[in-house]
Amino acid sequence: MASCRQVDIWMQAYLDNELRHADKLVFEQHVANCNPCARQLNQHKQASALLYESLREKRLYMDFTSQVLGHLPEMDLTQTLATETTWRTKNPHRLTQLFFQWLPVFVPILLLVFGLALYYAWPNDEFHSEHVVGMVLQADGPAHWSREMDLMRRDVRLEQWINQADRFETGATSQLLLALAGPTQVAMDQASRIKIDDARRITVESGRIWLDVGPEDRYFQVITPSARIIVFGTRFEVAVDLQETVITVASGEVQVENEHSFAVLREGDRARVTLQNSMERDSVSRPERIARWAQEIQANPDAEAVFAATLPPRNGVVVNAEQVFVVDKRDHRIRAIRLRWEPTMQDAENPGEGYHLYIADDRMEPVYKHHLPGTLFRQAGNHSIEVDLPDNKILQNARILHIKLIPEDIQRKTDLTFSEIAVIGY
Amino acid sequence: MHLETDKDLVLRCLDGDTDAYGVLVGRYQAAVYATAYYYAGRVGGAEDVAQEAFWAAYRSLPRLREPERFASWLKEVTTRTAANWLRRNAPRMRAETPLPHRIQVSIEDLRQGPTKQLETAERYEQVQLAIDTLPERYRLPVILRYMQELSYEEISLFTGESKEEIRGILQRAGRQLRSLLADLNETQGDAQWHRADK
Repeated sequence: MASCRQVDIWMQAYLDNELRHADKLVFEQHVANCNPCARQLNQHKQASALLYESLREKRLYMDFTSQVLGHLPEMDLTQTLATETTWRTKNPHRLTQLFFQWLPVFVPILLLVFGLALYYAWPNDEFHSEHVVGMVLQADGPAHWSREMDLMRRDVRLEQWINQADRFETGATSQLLLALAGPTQVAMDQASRIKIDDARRITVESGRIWLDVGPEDRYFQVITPSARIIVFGTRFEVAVDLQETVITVASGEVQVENEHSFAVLREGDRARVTLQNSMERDSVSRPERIARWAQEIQANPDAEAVFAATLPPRNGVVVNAEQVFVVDKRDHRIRAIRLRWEPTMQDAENPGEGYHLYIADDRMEPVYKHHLPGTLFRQAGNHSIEVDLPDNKILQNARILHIKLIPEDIQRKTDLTFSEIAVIGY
Repeated sequence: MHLETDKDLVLRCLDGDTDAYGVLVGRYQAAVYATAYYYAGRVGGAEDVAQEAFWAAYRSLPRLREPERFASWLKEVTTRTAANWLRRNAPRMRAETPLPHRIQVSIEDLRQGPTKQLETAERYEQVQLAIDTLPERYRLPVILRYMQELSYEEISLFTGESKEEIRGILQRAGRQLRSLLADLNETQGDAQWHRADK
């Protein structure tokens, strides 16, 4: 059964007897059962009749063939002769003509399309082994990346190589899973921005990330606006906003520090480091529930396989770059500590690697931190230096001091071996 | 009966066979005449224009690049001829603009209502006005259909538009004309119905 709308469309063709037989039957059946359409048809019929009636008067009834033929002019053959030799008259095919007619239009369009295709397909993340530090294992939703010194933001693709100094940014609906050589997995939650400084160092500019750092002979460090985080093999979450950085540890050990203090966090610990250099610590009740969001991002198996084949896990011996000494000072008041180290072959050309000195008390609570610039070690002829300590209550009350030394450039292995640490009293 | 195609006839003409042109004239004179009428013939001259158009087409037949599209090419020639004809005759036509109909009305006629003659003239006027309100593109197909009763196929061949386009054009034009002419029909008193409300 046709609709009234269809019947209305068919009406003119029906009256002009230009409807297919089957449609005509449907039309007639509809009109027989539909009063409004029947009225329309009647009206249409009358309008048509009026048109025929009025225009018929002007109709041509005579045949003027003989009149035309009686006075036929000569054919103008000059045109044919003139155009006969052109390429077009030799190829009168309609398609060919159309082709040339539209040539000025579609050639630029074609060029544009080619240009765009080339532009987008141009390999912009070529594999340069010396710069490649990782790969995108999963891209869930539209995320962007950019290269340093290059303002253009590109879409992140699965299996994309990550180079040093690449920046990644997720939007309100996207999450990313990155793998760095080591291996380290970095999961980025929505609205996060990070910079991959290299395989063992990332900067979290904003948002929330989850790190699963594989054990390796180098430290892994995470830099945020308010804190520096140094880790070995461990899993933890870092959330950064305008005011503070919150670090929650799921397993392993993480050292968090800011300008003035430091803390060592273990499973279930949480630290809140603000830009005003305050550090608060507490713990979460169920460490296994930390960063559930990150567990839901599954790596693409193909990407994982390519990554593992290209940047295999380092299975070297885990060499701890930190050197820890325990000093029992009893109840003495101390004013300084003396560090002595073994002379090395490279003393002369020692680039002057500095060290960070961390002192914690019996309960491993932080007491003091200090930075020892590299020049100190180069200038000191007798391979020892003294570091003055503040005369504060916590320090003086502590009975046992845990003294830890971590090289400044923690990606390098230790180049000095400290042989002796002594406390100096008043 | 198998009709010779336009292409065959054109090729025969080009070989000097004037009878073949006679067949083409017979085939298209109605359309050419209606076109001439539409462009130039309101005040007479449609026949002259039509004949001139056929002569002009014959003269430039060698210039026709696609003989199978003779019909739509002929339409172009006709419109050009009509335009030239109008340019030549426009000053004279202005001078000859007919006076309004003068109709003698007797007392008897008045008693019976408007005369048949008046009705026809007025109706024709109305229909012309209605057609003039249609979009430009609709007008020639409407004239070809209602004046010469050409089939959709013939109209499409002549105007160069597809048959489906012609079907659509006539359907839309028909709908517009129906509403424009509905009032006229009603005043004629032979329609007791009203427009259906949708």
